[in-house]
Amino acid sequence: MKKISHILAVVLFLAVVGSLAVAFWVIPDKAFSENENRVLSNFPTVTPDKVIEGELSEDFNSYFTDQFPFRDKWLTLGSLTHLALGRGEANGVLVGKDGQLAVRKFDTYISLTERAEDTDYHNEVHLRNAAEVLGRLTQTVAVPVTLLPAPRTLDVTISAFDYPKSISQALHDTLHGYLSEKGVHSVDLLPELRKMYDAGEYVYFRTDHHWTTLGAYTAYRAIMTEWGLTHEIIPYENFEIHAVENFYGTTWSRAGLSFILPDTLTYATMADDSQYVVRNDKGDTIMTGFVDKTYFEKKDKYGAFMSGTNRLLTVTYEGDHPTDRPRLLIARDSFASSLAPFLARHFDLVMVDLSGGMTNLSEYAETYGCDRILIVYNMENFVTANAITRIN
Amino acid sequence: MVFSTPLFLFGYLPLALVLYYLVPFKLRNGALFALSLLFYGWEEPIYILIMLFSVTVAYLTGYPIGKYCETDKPRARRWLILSIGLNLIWLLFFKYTNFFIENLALIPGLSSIFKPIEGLTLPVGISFYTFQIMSYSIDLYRGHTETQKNYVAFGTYVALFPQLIAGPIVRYRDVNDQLTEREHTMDKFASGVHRFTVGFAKKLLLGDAFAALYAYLGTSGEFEPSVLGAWVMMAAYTLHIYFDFSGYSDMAIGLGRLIGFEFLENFNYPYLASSITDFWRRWHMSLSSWFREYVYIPLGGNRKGLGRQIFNMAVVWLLTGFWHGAAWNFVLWGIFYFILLVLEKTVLLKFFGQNKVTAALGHIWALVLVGIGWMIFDHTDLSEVWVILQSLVGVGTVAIAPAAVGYEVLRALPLLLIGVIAATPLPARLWGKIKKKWAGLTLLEPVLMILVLILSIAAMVSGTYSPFLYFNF
Repeated sequence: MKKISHILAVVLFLAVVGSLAVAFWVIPDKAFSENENRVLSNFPTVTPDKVIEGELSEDFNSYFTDQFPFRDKWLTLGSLTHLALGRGEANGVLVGKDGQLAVRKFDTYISLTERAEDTDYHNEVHLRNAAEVLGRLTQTVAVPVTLLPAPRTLDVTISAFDYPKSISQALHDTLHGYLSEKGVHSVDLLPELRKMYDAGEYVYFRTDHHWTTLGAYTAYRAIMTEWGLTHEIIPYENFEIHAVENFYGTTWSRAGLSFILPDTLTYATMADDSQYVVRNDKGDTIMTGFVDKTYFEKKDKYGAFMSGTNRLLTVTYEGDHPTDRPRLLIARDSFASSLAPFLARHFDLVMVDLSGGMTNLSEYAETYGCDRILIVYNMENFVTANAITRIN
Repeated sequence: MVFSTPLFLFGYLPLALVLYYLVPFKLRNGALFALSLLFYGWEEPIYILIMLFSVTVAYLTGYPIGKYCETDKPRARRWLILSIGLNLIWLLFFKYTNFFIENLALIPGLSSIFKPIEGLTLPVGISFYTFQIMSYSIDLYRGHTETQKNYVAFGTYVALFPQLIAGPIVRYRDVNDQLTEREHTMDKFASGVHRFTVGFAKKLLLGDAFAALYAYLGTSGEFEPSVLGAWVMMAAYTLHIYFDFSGYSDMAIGLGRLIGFEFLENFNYPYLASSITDFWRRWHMSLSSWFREYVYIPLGGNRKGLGRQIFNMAVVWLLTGFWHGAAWNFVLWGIFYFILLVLEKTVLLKFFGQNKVTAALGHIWALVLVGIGWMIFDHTDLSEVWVILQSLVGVGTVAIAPAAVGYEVLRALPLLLIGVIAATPLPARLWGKIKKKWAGLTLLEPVLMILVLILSIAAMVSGTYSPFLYFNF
């Protein structure tokens, strides 16, 4: 019996190691991983230089890492092992009720230049600095400034997790405390979005960190109310809603759990959408309407809104009923992409990407003759990025 | 090359095994030597030359040392000193030069003279193979072994890929016979496969998980030091370094068996230690026995009175600390153990031996202090250690159990439980008992082993997962 067991052990071991070793050579290499959104390493070219410098080892290491046979299957099994070992999260992503995912651990700024990896703590000084910069902006710019901090998925969907609500609340309270202390005019969306989520409304994606079109509409309604334009708000029913299936978002990618079901992405249109013209920083028209449907063929479906990430965009109405519309400067991250289609019904837009280094807001406001500034920035970015503190 | 990478497991290892078993026995050492040089030179092509230099020097001086060790001791000693000197100089140069320069530069007025040498990276495994080579020369001088006349066999001993970069430190005389004659049996191969898989799983399933927990709690402690955080953090590192290092030794021992070698054990359930003295008989045994045999005993050991013994211990522990790294925290770590061991030698061991209660106290004492030792070991900034020590006892501005830390610890409870049990002989003993009862389970064993291997491979692949997500922010 012992003998057979030994033979079996050797045979099985050699079979697993051997078959995977052979699979490396047999299975054709892939060029790109959509899941990870990056180019994969290919078989290294061997040159004498590389051998001497020891670079060949790095090349081969990344080749064997990137081209691992059936990589996605292994990743899922690995993430499942993590979950099973009781960590209840995979790669810093919590798995909650009904397949709701939410990022819990972030790389957080702890000083002006240094970040702490994978923590759910936030640095109060960093938040206070951000609030201070926004307060100064509010005082110095001639036009009104409004801040819309988009809540994180974890904050909105907290009821889907056993994660302590107090931690999520602490970030929210700290940020809003500093904002009001520094005299920043801001809209707090969290209570309403949380209430809607708990009532079963689809306001945030399950697999992506963004809000859905319904979530974005909720933000639109809140801002319009804040600006005293309640009477102009267009009812949700007036829009035609289109659905795109099989949206696997960024949180899904990060978690690496392929059994989590995809989201349905929706977008809202009206009959005259094609009369809105979107131009880039060079003044070239990049599209009419608000949705670039080519993105629906790709994994990054959310990128369809306003055609992904652009340093600067302008949206103008050039239709049958030309009116002198007020102009709004939106300093933003990607949350504004799905919000802009609603605001564009009332304002001509100038959208600048804060993460892309477009932080000279007072200058843009003047150059483009804007009547208002709206800053749309995710709470996550408040702790993990430092774009706000660079605003001048 | 590290064992726990796809490149090793699915590239190098199959290649090595196929080549090794294809060539006739006479050429196997040659094949192993070449394969080991490939294993090493892969990442450090230039540093191969340093290793070969040390190998050649020890090989050549082996002739006169062996020749004169019986007849002309002083002459043999001169050759021994030459061999050790030419061998150690590389270790001293690469590992310690910048440490001394940096510290000399701290003296006012000297900072302009002493500039650290840039690009001075430590050749991988040099701390290990230098000690192995020295064991050959010294044993030869003492007449404990004979001159190795076959260069390839000696080179194979030093460069042998399973133990080259992280030990165990194999003494020459322990494998001398195996270099010329070793058995390749199915049973040995099977036990090698088992041992490798156990080590692989220890590192990837447990070691890395505890590393992540440790990192999280470390960061939390920087934001908000807490009692709970500090204790669990210490436990996490204690478990991490055990599973990581003993897992690596298991893999080395297992790989050795795949090619017919049998190495001595390097760990013996260190956290079951009944005292610090006992701990060092169970942790990294190949290193502590090296220092005992080649430093402590030659200095006189305990044979020349208590005063001299304490001095000898001081030398050994300063060197042990310094061997682990060229930084002050390692020196402090060595001194820490020196003090504890002297305390035990003079007073505490007698006390622990009194009855069951004092013996239990001995276990707690050993475990907690080893944990504190690891905190010194892992922090070059000693002010951080101070914060951890304060947190452990709840002194200063320290929270008890913040929500985030409590949440993380709760999630990690199953992992901690598994880790604690897996660090004891309990699972192996239990499995042995069950097997005795149901003989059929013997056949299930390889299947379970493969399942563990597959889970570990998945963890390895997961560890390389790096999605680029910051395109949509």
